[in-house]
Amino acid sequence: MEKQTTPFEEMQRYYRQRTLAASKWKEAGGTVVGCVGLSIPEELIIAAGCLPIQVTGDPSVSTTEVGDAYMEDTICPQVCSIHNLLLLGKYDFLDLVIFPHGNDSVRKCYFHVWTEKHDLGMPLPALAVFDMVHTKKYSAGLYVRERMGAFKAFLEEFTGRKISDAAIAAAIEACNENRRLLQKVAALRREDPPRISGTEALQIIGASFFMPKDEHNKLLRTYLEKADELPAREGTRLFASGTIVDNTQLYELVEARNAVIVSEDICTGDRYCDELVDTSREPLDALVDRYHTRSHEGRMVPISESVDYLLKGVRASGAQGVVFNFLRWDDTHTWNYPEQRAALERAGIPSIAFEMQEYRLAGAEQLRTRVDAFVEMIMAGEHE
Amino acid sequence: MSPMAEETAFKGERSKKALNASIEATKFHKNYYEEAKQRAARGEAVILANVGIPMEILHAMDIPVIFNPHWSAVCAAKQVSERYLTALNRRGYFRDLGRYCSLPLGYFFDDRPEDAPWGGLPRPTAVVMDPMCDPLIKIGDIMSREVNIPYYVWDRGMIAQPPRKNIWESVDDIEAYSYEEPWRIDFAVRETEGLIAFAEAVSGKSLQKDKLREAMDRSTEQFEYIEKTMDLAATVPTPMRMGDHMANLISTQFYRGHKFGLAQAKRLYEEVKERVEQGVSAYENERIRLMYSGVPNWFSPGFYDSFEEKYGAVFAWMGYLTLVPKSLMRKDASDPVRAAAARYVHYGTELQPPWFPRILVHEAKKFRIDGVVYSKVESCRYLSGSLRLAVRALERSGIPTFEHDADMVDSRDWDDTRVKGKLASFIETLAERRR
Repeated sequence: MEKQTTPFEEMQRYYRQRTLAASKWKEAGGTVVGCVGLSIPEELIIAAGCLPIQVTGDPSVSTTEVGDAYMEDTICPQVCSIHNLLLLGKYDFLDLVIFPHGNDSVRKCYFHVWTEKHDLGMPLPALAVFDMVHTKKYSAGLYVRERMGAFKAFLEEFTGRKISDAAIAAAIEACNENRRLLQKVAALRREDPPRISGTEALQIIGASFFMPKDEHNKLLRTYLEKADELPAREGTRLFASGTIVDNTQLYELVEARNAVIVSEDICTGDRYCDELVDTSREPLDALVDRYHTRSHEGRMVPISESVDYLLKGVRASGAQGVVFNFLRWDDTHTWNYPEQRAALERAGIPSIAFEMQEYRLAGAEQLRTRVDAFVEMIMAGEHE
Repeated sequence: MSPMAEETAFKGERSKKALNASIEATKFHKNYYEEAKQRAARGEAVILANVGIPMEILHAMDIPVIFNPHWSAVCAAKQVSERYLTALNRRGYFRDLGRYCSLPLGYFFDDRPEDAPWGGLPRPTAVVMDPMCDPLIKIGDIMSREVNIPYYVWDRGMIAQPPRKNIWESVDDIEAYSYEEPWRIDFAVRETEGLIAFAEAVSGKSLQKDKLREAMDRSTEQFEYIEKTMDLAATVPTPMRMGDHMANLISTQFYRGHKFGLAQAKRLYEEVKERVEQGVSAYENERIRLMYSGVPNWFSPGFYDSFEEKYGAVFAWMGYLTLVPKSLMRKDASDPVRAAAARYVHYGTELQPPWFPRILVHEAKKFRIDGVVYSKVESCRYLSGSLRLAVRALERSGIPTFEHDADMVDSRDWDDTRVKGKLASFIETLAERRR
């Protein structure tokens, strides 16, 4: 008799086999929209009747032969990997790829892919931009509101279908429900002792990026029903910060050293579910509020917001220390780091930073040694 | 040991200049700083800014402006970049972060203006940055808190549809394209109005529309002179040296719409025109024509003169005088705020594809270039441009390329002999090719 998979195993499967749901959706005649990063309002894509999935990199695929021949490797290596996969045709099944006005690397990648498609004639999916800005001032909020409306109109034109208010409301509710359930997952990580490891959490949260929200919600509900049975996790409580994490390499390495990552301020972790869309507001205003006004993207200014957000997360999770991980050429989070570190020091919270990291984890032995030393230092401090 | 003696042992080489206009430009700029200090001492506002903001507004308001990259270049030329970059690193900023635009932040961290180049900067009244690249807006944020002064980000949106055709062929096409995607221009207008209000608040001055229109017209005329100069500069043999390009980019980068900017552009044009008419070349023995793509080396500008004597290799093209004025030309200033918005909403975009590869091929052909030396600066990815696509396009056009891997202001990793040796090998292959 075939063993029935658990809800966690199901979520893990969707996290690992990232095109699984998209393939099923396409087989059923659906439209799949790829999003580069998590700043794009997926609610509108769902309301348009499409399946949004994240366009991520793959550290196991080298960029040397194809991607690096067209785009210099001196940008964020995760974005280099996305670019490489696009050129390799790994995302050919997508009906559309949307790039947000994110950091320099994402913006550069868009212009490269656009040029490779239009000037070099490479067979790449249709491309679009969701424009945002870098500040939260009044004029910026107005602009993002305009672009939100334009994005809705664009999706209507793209699908040939009007997006009704009811469809937006339903999509917002599905995504909010997803966030509420993931907040429960986050709460289990914050328990003492934690009931879910960081590596597991990345996969539970990450499954949401590659499958329909309703299906993910169903799995989450079943998973949470048996939360009491989840085992206690032993180890020093750590908080992760820095560059996007779209795979489990780093978390696995850290958690194999007598530590548990209990939360993070990374977009692919707990930050994904930190803020719900306010359903009391006009839907597009509410999306602007969620994706712009209340967003905590490291690329934005003022830096003080990223400092406050980190401290709030660390305190809420009861973390004993913070691990900063910066991929090569991360020009956003690294500029926030010295002030974040200083604020942690003032709060008596130790931190460690891994800078200029490769996308495919390199120098693992050295990292393990540094994590060991960091954990020992925290434990020694606790016992003083 | 005095603080100045702590600096790097390497002392850069000065560049040679062929033009009197270049000497004028250098002199003016030093005096401008001195005057800015005197005005600041009298209580006048001085703004520290990046070059991607509508600077015509500040010039029209007669507010002295210190430009972040220029101060970086001055510090590098005076061999103190190590001191300021080290000050940054001591504050916890990683060594691999962008150095060109952060070096002035290191100057403020160092806080020893008495022995800084040119006697240090006047204390700025405010900071204005644009999000041309990620580090800039962060640097402005940190700077404003370090100096305790207000900060304005001239924010802007992102291009959704680059031009399908090569608009670099025509200034009119560039201008027409700049008004596409009007939502971005509308936002840039609001941001520009915000900048005017900010500048008025921090300076106590007010801006008149006519003054702004005059400044916009002035910069357009300035750009037209530079464009005509660059047509002349394509002459073989070249009438301008690399040192002349470097000295004169000051006027197009920092004095757009300023009376000096126009006067300098005219002076440059007239001198180059005269030289071309009289058949006067900048180098005595020009045999190989090189193009330099990227920000030049400010700590050893004489580097570019090192290949003339032995190989007859000259740098006939450098990007600033060509790329910036041509891409910023907005002839219709009837609505000066909208024209300024449309001018700056694309600032720096020409470094991205599809623009960059198209432009380099066009310019290399126009200047009859034998080989392209492109600067790959790991700490400043944005200003390095879209190199791989550009190299592919150039090589498809039969133009050899060479990767020059060095920072524009940080001399800490510079190995003069090694760098010159590598470039000399490339030049030898070009010489062989010509034979």
